[in-house]
Amino acid sequence: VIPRWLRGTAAYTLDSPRRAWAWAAAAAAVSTVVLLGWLFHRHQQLSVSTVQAIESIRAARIELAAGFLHVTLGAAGDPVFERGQGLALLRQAAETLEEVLERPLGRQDVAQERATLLASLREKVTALERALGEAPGTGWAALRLAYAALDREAEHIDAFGQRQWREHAARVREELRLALVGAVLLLGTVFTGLLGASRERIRSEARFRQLFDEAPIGLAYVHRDGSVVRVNRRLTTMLGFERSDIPHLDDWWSKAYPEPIYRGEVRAGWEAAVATALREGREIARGVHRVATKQGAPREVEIGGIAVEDGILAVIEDVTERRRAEAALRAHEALLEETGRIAKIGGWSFDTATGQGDWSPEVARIHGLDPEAPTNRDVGLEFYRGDSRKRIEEAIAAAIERAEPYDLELELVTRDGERKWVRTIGHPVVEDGRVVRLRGSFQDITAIRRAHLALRENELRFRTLIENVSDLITVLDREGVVRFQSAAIEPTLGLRPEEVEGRGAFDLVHPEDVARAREAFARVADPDRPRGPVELRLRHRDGSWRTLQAIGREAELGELGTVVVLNSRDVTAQRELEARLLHSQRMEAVGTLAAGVAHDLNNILAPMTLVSGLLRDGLDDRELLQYVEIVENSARRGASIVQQLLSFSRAGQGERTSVELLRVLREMVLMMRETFPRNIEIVEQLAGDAWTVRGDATQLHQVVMNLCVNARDAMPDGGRLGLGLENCELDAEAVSTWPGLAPGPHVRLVVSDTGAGMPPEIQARVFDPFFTTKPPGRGSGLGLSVVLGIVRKHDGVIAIDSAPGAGTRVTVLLPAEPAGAVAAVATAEPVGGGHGEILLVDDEPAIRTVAQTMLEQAGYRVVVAGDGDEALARLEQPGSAPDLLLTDLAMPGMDGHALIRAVRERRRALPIVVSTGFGEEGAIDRLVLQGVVAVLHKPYRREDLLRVVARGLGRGGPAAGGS
Amino acid sequence: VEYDACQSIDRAAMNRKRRGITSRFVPWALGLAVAACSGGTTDSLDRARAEGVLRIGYAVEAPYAFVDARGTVTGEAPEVARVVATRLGVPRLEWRQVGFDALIEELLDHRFDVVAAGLFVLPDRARRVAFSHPTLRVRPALLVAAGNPLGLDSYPTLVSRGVRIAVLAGSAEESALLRLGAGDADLLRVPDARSGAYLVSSGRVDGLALSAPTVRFFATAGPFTGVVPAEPFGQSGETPSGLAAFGFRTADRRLLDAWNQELAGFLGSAEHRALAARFGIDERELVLPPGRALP
Repeated sequence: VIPRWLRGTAAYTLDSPRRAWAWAAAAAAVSTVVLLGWLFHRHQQLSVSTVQAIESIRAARIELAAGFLHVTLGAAGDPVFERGQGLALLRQAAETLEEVLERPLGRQDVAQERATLLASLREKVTALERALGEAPGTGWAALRLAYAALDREAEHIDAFGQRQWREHAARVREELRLALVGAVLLLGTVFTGLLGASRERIRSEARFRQLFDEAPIGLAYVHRDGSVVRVNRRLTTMLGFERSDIPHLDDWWSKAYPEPIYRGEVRAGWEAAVATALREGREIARGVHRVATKQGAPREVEIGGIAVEDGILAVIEDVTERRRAEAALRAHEALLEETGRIAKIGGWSFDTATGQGDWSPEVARIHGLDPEAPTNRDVGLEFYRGDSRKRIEEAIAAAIERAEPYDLELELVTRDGERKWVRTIGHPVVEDGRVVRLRGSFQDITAIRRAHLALRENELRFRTLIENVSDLITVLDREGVVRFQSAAIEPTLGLRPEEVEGRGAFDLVHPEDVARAREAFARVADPDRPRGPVELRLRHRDGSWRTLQAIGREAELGELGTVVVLNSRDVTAQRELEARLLHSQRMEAVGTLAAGVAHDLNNILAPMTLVSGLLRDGLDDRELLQYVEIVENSARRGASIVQQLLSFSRAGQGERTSVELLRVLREMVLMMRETFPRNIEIVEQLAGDAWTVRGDATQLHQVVMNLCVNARDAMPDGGRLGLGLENCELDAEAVSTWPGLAPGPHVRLVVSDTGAGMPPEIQARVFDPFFTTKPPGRGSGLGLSVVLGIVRKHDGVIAIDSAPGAGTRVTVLLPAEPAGAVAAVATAEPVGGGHGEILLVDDEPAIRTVAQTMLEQAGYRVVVAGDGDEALARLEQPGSAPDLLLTDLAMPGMDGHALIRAVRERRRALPIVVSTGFGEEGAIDRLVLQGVVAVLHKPYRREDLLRVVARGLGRGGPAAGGS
Repeated sequence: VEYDACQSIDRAAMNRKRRGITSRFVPWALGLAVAACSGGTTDSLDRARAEGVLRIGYAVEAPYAFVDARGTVTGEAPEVARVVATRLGVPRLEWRQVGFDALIEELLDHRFDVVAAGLFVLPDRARRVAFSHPTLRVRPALLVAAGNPLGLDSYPTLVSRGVRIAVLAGSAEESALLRLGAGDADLLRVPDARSGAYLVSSGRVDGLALSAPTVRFFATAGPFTGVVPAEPFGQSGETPSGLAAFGFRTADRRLLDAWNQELAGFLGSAEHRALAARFGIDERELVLPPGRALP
């Protein structure tokens, strides 16, 4: 209750330096007294003994005289004097004088003088005794002389004693003077000290008074009789009362407590407390009083008191403002608690050393705890589980050890078992470089978090949509600057979204398309103009151009305001595919035309070939034979052209075997080295482990031959001819730009030259039949067409990469055959005759006749039919048992396919061989399924016919033939 | 204390404590100083035993103390003192002859240690000196011319009759007469008993007021003729008997105690009685220690 500053004032009154001084002064005083006492004692002794000695000498001289009187008068017979008494006195005097001299009177330096005096005295005493020993009446003169000598000696001794006394007195005077000076000095010191102490006391009292007056709290000293001794300035300022206003407590009561009943209560309580305080030396506990100032204004003051000596020091503090502030604070606290409860937020703190802490009621409520219950750190922690517990403990440890604040969202389980999410923010309070407290906020964010999660999930969903749409979603502001770019740009243009964002949208557009793009961008904002998609070329990171189809839409997008949302799609592959398809369709049409022509020509050439053969066998005339050969050669050349046409149109369907391209290429290399000009350098890069392909060895041979010949022809002045072969595995993406190519293992064949190269417009036409860049008579214009046809027939693709002056590079991709297949190359077989019955079906009479002739010449029996119906009729004739059916496919009426199906129903085991001048896509496989053992391609030669037939009858090799 | 008084601001409790310290301390210091000043207060018994000599003062008043023709000090008191001193282990005695009225002053002046002169125990004296156990109880007496021509029979009579009386200066008789109203003119103070006796014998005074043994001594063994004790004298009892004892300085407590102890063993002994008889002292005048009776 007593303020500290007031207690402190008492402590300074006796500080240690002055206490030490007090002890020093006391010690000095005692020392002085002791010193003086010792001096006094010493001089007293000396004085006493000296005075005694002088007195003794004096007495001895009187006794000497009295003794002499007694002796002389006693001897003379005077009745009142007695000789014995005189003798006693004389001896006594002598003894006394001797004794005085024997005593160590005076200083040491007079010892000699004393000894001399003593010896002299004894001599005189002896003389006197001798004189006395003589009979009375006789020798008076001797007695007289002895006495006079002794008396003179006594006088000497007396003078000696007096001198000693004077010297002693002088010494005493000197020593006393010194002692006096010392004492005066000491007393001066003491008095100076006392004076200083007194001044200090005065100053101290002044300080104390000032302290009293200037104390930041109202003070009044009231004597036990009720008189007010002093009031301080603060009290006057506070209540307006000077001491003169309230000279007695009665005045105080009447002035400061205008309301009589209240005054009575307070006064009774106060007087009782004062009585107790004065009696027991206790303090008067503070209480709040409602008083009036001198001007009559009501104030609330807190009054307490201390018993000091014979009065009370009353302590008065104006608490009006404080109580008002307390009320405001309570209201503020209530508001805080209410708002905390609404926001589910509160505050907490704890002492890092003890763990003791507190929290606002809302924090306790969030935990499901009683807000009144005490808390500490461990209570707060036990609501967390698992990861949340670990994180909060780590965060607290870091905050305590390194003063790191933290802000965590954690999950806790309330006392009621409810799961809640809370956000707790902790800040360390550092004092003297040490974290002494942690405090922070605590908020129940379960609902917020739930909403946040939902929002995030929603956003994530949309983002996932955007990011996973293969279309490019681009947001442009009104200036055409990219504000957002979806991730789909990366596979499309090889750019990351952030490389585009912030850049102008037209930077990537092909210069030729920029105007169109700007026009489309402007159109988006204009609702009156049509808004169809627009196709633009954009630059890929690798420099190539990609065609994108974009459609824009205006939208309001948050803070970006009005923006244009672009949806773009990469249609490059689609456009390329369309181009290829267009090309394919054109080729297909040309092929179909060529096939039709070839079929007819074959039917024309076949008899010529067959007949010229027959004629040669039957003619002896040399000249005629020459003509026949001319015919035969011409027919063969025609057949060759037809064959090439068929190859291009894929009509010429050969048999498929496992072909080792490596061998084909090596043979090619050998051949080229033999036949190509020397100025052409042949560079081979052939992978030794190249896979085989399923296909027609002869056709593939032709592909390689044609490409190499083209390369040679492109380099009339020499150059380097590259031949490459390697395996490659193509995935779905790699084949996506190639119509007709399936994913899987492939073999890549590359033929390159360092020749003149081709401009794009020529490249676009090189596959067209009869298109040639060679001089007239040098090429048929079918070389690359044939190559294309063969490659396609083998399910492969071909690509040309060329530029003027940069040479040409032709790449062929062919599906590879699973490993292990045995490769085969076309080999010539011996042609021999046979026997058995063959049902020959062909709608072309010339072919039918020639074929019949050839077979019959070879020893076979031949039954012919003009179409399917006839063939079936033949087959069903009694006794008809053909060993083999040889049929055309394209026939009027029942065609070859129908015939084959019909024959299979009747004669399942009958071997069937098909001859066709028209390569149908997929036809061969279907035929094989129907039990066709071999296919003979028109126009065929006699050897081909006989070999295939023999094989069909089970006497030949593999079921393949034709050229 | 002065310093403490300066610090008077409501520090009553502490001050009380401090005053307590000082009030205990200062007297102690002063006492030490005074003790230092007063210095060597050794008992005379120790000094006498150490030096082997005891100084004894006397005034010539036979038969208590007097000097023989060869100058040797003798008398009842010196002889008893010789016995006691021997018993106390002090071999030698130094004698100091002084006037009777100077005995106490000289004792207190340390000129001697013991008074052996038939000094009466009187209240005035007892305030200044310590007395030993008394050795004699003697009655007052008066030496008058033969036949007691004035018929003097008591001290009051002397005073009332206005006769001229000699008294030993400083004696008990002088005090008694003065107390009885004797004027200075009536009293002739003499330095010793012999002078008084001569005055009586020569008729210059009417009587010499002294104790009974002295009066008897001068009447029987004195050098003067024609003097006798007044008989009867003091029968009315106005003047009580006097007790003679040895005198000591009050500080010499141990000497006094030792002296009394030896005295008690000696008084009343045959040796003592013989000694007293030698100086004409009646056995009835001897004072015996308690419990001892004359045979």
